[in-house]
Amino acid sequence: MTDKSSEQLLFITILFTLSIIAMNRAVSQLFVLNFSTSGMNITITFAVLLLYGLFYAFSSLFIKIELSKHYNIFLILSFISISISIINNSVLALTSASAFLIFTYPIVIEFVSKMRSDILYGLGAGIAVLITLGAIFDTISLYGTTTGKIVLLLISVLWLITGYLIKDTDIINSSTELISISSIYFYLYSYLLFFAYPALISSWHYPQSMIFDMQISTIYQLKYLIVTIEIFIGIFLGVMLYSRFRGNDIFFALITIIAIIESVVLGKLLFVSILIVITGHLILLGGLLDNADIDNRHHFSTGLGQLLALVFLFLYALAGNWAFIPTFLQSITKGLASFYIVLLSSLLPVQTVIRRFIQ
Amino acid sequence: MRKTYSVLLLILTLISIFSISLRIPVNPETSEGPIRVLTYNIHQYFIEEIGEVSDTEGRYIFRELLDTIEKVNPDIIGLQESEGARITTGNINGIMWLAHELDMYFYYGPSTSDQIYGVSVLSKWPILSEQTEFLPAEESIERVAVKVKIDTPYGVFSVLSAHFQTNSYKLDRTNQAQALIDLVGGDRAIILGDFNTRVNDSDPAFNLLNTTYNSAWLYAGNQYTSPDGYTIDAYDPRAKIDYIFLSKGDWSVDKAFTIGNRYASDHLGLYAEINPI
Repeated sequence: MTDKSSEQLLFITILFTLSIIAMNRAVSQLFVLNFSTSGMNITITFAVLLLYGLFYAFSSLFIKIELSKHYNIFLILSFISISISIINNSVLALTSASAFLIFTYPIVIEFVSKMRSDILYGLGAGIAVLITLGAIFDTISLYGTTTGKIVLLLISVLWLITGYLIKDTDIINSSTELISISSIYFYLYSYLLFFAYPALISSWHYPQSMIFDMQISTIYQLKYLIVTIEIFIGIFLGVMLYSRFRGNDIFFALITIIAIIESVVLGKLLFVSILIVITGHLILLGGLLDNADIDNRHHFSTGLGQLLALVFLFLYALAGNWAFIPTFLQSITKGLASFYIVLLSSLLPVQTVIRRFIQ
Repeated sequence: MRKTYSVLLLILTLISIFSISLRIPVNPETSEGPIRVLTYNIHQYFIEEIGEVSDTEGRYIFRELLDTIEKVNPDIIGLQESEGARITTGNINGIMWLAHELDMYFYYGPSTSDQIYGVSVLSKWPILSEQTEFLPAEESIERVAVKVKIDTPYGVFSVLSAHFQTNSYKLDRTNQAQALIDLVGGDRAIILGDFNTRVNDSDPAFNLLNTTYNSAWLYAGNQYTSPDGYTIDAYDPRAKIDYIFLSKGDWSVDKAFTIGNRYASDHLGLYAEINPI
């Protein structure tokens, strides 16, 4: 990190916060447009092309985008996009939220490439901000109320300001191949899609009856509070432990095994083990970031990885709405939400192992 | 970097704990008089395009829903399609939020991991016990009813909220009606729901419910044929599928009417004021 490390941390934190807000917005509008009573329409193709950097996976074959030259444009366009996404029009909201993800994609890749596991600080803080916004707004979306929209606009302005403050740093003035380590992009966000929402995790199972003489609604609230605290401790411990044991292969291997086992049992033990899950996965992520092949130019395998990630993410979203989708899709989605999250989370480690094996 | 990160996390943790702790409910106030009851299908907190009207599409309904409910200030609410903890709805807990805004106790089912519509009950009186029941579904997706017992100045009674299968699966819906009746048992009960069955004596599901229980709409002096009681769709109501049923001999009804608009849900809510006998 340069001497502008505080500004950079704030910038990356807001980047992750806004990205996941935009992603949720895009997915929800995609659902409304395609799986409501009016059926599917052209927006699904549009969204598939735009979301999660697939656009770049294809376009980078023909165009070389250099962040050093286009940074200001990306920054301004991303600010405009996220600001427009508050408008109550599904097509416009989907387009603008997706556009934010497209315009920030090169920035994410550049920062991940240069900062490696140091990006965990921004990721952890991004999760923390999302959890805090959820706590303040009592879990409902910022897009759901006027106050929420104002807060979102304020965060967007902060994004623009911090973006301007760091524009002269070394990271912005270098250039990385856009498709390199782009699979990490999915890994980072699959993370946030789940762990930044303690309201989701705390309602995963019925409240446990171990607490007597307490109203059920109070138990729900208590569960939500406990899960929130667990995630905060998890993101603190995950980043700090990785920082402490960085480079220790045995420790990293052990954590990988624990994290994968925890992922497999995610659906069953989530409530009691969320602290271990998030700590383990952050350490795993740190290891992957430090060991990723940044010179990778395997367009085909990267594109395939992205496509698989998109499919898993799409199936995860459908699994949460299996009751609304065509019958032929129900058999591969019903009750499988946690399964697809595991697949999504495992994609990058598996891809990394396969590449090493082939090489 | 470490220090900044640690301080930032600590501050955010404290803000979160403070915000969440503030909302633990404490003895909501209730007023004298009849028990105010509402059933409402809230369409997972979203509005989609209705008919030829597209200005509602994709909007969250939080504020409109809350305003609509606050106008009648119900003591008991049964909600359907209330599960919001999914990525497509923004991973929210809308029932918890609504209960906090209205200062009510709440229960919902099934758990988020079951990944289905979800139903819930909100109450201004404490909930003594709660139960989620999966309804029979041989041919179609699972549907759920929740049953709670609440402790009121009028004594302890049961409140149920249910969401039945649509017209495409009549056999399932009939079995669901029978299962709901079994779940109620001999309790003094208020049964709230989107039963997806229109007023039609030849429909076994409707017939079972309508003959086993008293319909609050009818007992308030209304007719089923009255368009005023239609609940779908909210833009141009043409049918009644949402009902408030009451265990026979236990309740009288002062009045019943529909509430809401196309900006609050794709259904209208059904509201009633009832008295214990």
